[in-house]
Amino acid sequence: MAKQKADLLQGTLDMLILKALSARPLHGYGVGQHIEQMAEDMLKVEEGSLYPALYRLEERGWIKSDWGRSENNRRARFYTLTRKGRRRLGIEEENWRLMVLAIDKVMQTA
Amino acid sequence: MWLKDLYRRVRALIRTEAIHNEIDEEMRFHIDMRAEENVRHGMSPEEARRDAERRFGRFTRVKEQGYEVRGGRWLESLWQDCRYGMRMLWKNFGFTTVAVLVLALGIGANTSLFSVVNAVLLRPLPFPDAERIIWFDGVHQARGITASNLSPADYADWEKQVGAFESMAAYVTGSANLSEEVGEPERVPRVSVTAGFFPTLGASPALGRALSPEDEVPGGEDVAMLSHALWQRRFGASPDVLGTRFLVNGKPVTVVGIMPAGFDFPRASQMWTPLKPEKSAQKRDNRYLNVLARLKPGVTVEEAETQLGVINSRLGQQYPETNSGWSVRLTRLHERTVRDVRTSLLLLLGAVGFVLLIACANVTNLLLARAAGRRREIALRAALGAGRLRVIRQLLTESLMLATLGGAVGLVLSFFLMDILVSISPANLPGLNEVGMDWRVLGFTAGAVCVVGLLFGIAPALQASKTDLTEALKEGSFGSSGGLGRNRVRAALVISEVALSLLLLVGAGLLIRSFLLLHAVDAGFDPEKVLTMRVSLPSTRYSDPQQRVNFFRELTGRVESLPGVEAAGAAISLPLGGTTLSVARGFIREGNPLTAEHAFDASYNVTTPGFIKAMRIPLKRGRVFTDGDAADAPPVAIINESLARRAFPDIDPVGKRLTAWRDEQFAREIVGVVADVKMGQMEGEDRPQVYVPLAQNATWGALSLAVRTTVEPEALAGAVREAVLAVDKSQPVYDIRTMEDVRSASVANRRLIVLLFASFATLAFMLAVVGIYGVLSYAVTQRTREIGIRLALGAQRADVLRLVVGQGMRLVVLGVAVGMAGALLVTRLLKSLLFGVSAADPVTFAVVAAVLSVVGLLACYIPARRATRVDPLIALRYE
Repeated sequence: MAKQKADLLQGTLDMLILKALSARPLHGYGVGQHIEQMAEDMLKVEEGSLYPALYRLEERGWIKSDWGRSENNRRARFYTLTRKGRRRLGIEEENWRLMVLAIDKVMQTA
Repeated sequence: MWLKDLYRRVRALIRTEAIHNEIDEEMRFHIDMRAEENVRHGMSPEEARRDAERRFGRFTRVKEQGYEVRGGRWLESLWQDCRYGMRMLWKNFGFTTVAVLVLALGIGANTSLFSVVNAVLLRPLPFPDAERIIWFDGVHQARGITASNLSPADYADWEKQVGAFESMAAYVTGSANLSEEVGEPERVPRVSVTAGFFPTLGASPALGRALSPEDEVPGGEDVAMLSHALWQRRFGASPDVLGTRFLVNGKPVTVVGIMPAGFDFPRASQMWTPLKPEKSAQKRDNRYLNVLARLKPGVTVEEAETQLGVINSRLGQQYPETNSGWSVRLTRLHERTVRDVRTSLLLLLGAVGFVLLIACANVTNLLLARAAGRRREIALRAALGAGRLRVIRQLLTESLMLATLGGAVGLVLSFFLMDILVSISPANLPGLNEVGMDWRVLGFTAGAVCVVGLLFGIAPALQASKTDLTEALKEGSFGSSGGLGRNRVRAALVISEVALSLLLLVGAGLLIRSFLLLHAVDAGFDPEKVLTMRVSLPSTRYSDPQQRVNFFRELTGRVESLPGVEAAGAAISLPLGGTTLSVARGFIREGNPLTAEHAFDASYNVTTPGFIKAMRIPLKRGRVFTDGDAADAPPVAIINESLARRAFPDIDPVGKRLTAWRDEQFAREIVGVVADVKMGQMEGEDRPQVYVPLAQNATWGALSLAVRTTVEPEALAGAVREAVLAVDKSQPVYDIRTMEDVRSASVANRRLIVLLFASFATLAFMLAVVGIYGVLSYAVTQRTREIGIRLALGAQRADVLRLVVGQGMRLVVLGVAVGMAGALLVTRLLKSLLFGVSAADPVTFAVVAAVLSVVGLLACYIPARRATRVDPLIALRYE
């Protein structure tokens, strides 16, 4: 993604990460994979933006991290959604839908 | 949450390395996974790995962020700040030394004074539940009595009737001769106490038993309790001391108990004996007891006072002559012991606090000056990404480190200062031997360090962090004539320094004037070249009053015949509080009915004929006593002018009579009028006084000898002692002092306060002057270019002088004005310490303002002269 779009997407990336973790804990690589898969490869999550986002979310207390075992039995850092994070996800989702609705309205008028 | 966060960060600080490794590991894992996927998509292993790593990009930045979230970044950067701060302070060694010394002086002085305050005012009494111990003060409002002793008869009634007290006690202080068959007799402070004394205080003996009510029964064996120090000194701390007997005032006494070390209540007593009721105790108005009580748990002081009030008013009705109008005021014992010194100590603490503030202001100015030189460095740090907050934090850390250094040195300094303070303090200051370092004092120092560090750090930090990046980096090492903002702060600091030091100087000036005025007060006698000593005739060997009269007559005769002696006499009380015994009686002028309303109080001094001459008390009318005023002659008295004015306003008192209406059932003829003598403190008012010849009232056997000498009084001490021994070879003398010593002692407290206050004021003054000089000096350096330009454009050197001095004097004058306004408000706090001057004394104010202005002018002049010497060519070359 072009650098400009990445900036725009910073808040959105946060939301996507929270959503990715809403089902079950994932390690950093897994989060990236999950988002790309769910988006059917229409989105590409760059490592350079993923980890800063993860750390930012962790600092805000919306996700927490701990060591765990990956699928291939390697030690990896797993991220889990916290209760605060779950609430945040709900808010972000709501805001997103409202914004999409508003933008759609504008774009539809000739 | 923040606590958990802090905990996490502190833990992280310890595990710094581990956290870095963890983050590394996390990244490694991701790269490995990506590489594996790349391989799955067909890349070769090396290409896969390279691609994976490349994707990660700004590795370090991300790692930093991770570490910041997980780790102890915050604390680590604080540590970094500290190290950097130390380096900076070390680099500017000269500046650091000056600042540290100034701060050390300020903090050291504050700490040592606080340790005195801590030991004297804040320390609780060393008794269990000491807040329940109450002191009784007898009060008679109509007669202006606020703190009288109490009478045994009243005490007995209170003990029976007041329910608010768990226990009560009464005591009388004095001293006693100790002797054994052989060895030097020794005079020790001794207090006679009731059996309730020890339970009321909550103190118990370390050895043996306390006094009990049985000991008070007259006719029984005489017993005593000794202090730990006395036991060690005289009985070798022998465990068999209990039951041994020794002579007290010639009578055998058995030791029954030893008090623990350090117990010497009241007034450094060494011996406690039972208080036996005296014959005169029957008289309800013979008020000589000190009374204490312990409140029952849950009872308040007010409740106890109310109960006492009810009983006292009943007593007033029952015995109108002795008790009408009398009430009792209760205060907690601790409160009473510190009451007199509290004001002075707190004022001194305030003064020394001002000194510290001025020191801080000076250091702030120093820092501001230095900050200008560091603008490039700070600008660079800002450019490298440090936020403004970060820069401020770093500068504040540096200030706090400076403050800590100053505090550490100050702490060391305070040990010495504490010793000095203790050695110059009056010995009777309560808690004096507890002065030292304890947690509270350390806490005070730490607190002072923090406050000081923040105080002088904040302004320079805020100023410096505002640095305009580009401007700072562009210029050479000397910036332009610093922002107006910066100079405004420095100006404000100088003004406040001047104002504060003016405050202190005015205070010191008022105190000094009071002290000098006090010195000029006429004490009513001539204290120069008078030797005094006390002789206490034991009642065992001098049971007949005539024996006492004979002793002193022979003694004064012998002493007067000594070479170098002009006159000699003896009296039961010496002026200026030279003796602890002071007797007052109620007198009624002849012709008036013998009732309470016609009585007036006067001090009652029993003297030998030579006393008035020896003390050189001016005789105004009539005559002094002679040997002819003997026991069988008509009773006579001499009065002072105050009494004459009070009782015989328009007539000659000589020849008239008065009666000590409850104590002596006869009238005395007034044979002479003398000048007023200050019996208590110099500041005290003149009170009526009555003198009575020893030959006509030898109730007392303890008198002070007063010897007027033509040579130095001390030189005759030996000869006078010999004379005493010649009359009675087993009679010790004690308390050998000159009247000068006595006078000196009576103003010792005041002198100390003046000394300390003046020292602080001087220190503050010097710091302020240095501050003015420093600011102006710096301003001149900053404006070198401007001055050079002015000179080059044709200004005279005198104009430059006027410019600089004007700039400086504006600050000084403003400071003086603010200081005067402040002083007018604040000096009223000193009122209780002043004598003869008002708190707004114009002379003092004017003098101080003038001195400060003149010295300020000098401080401005020197840098100004430097300014005039600026060579325009050199100045202009500063591009």
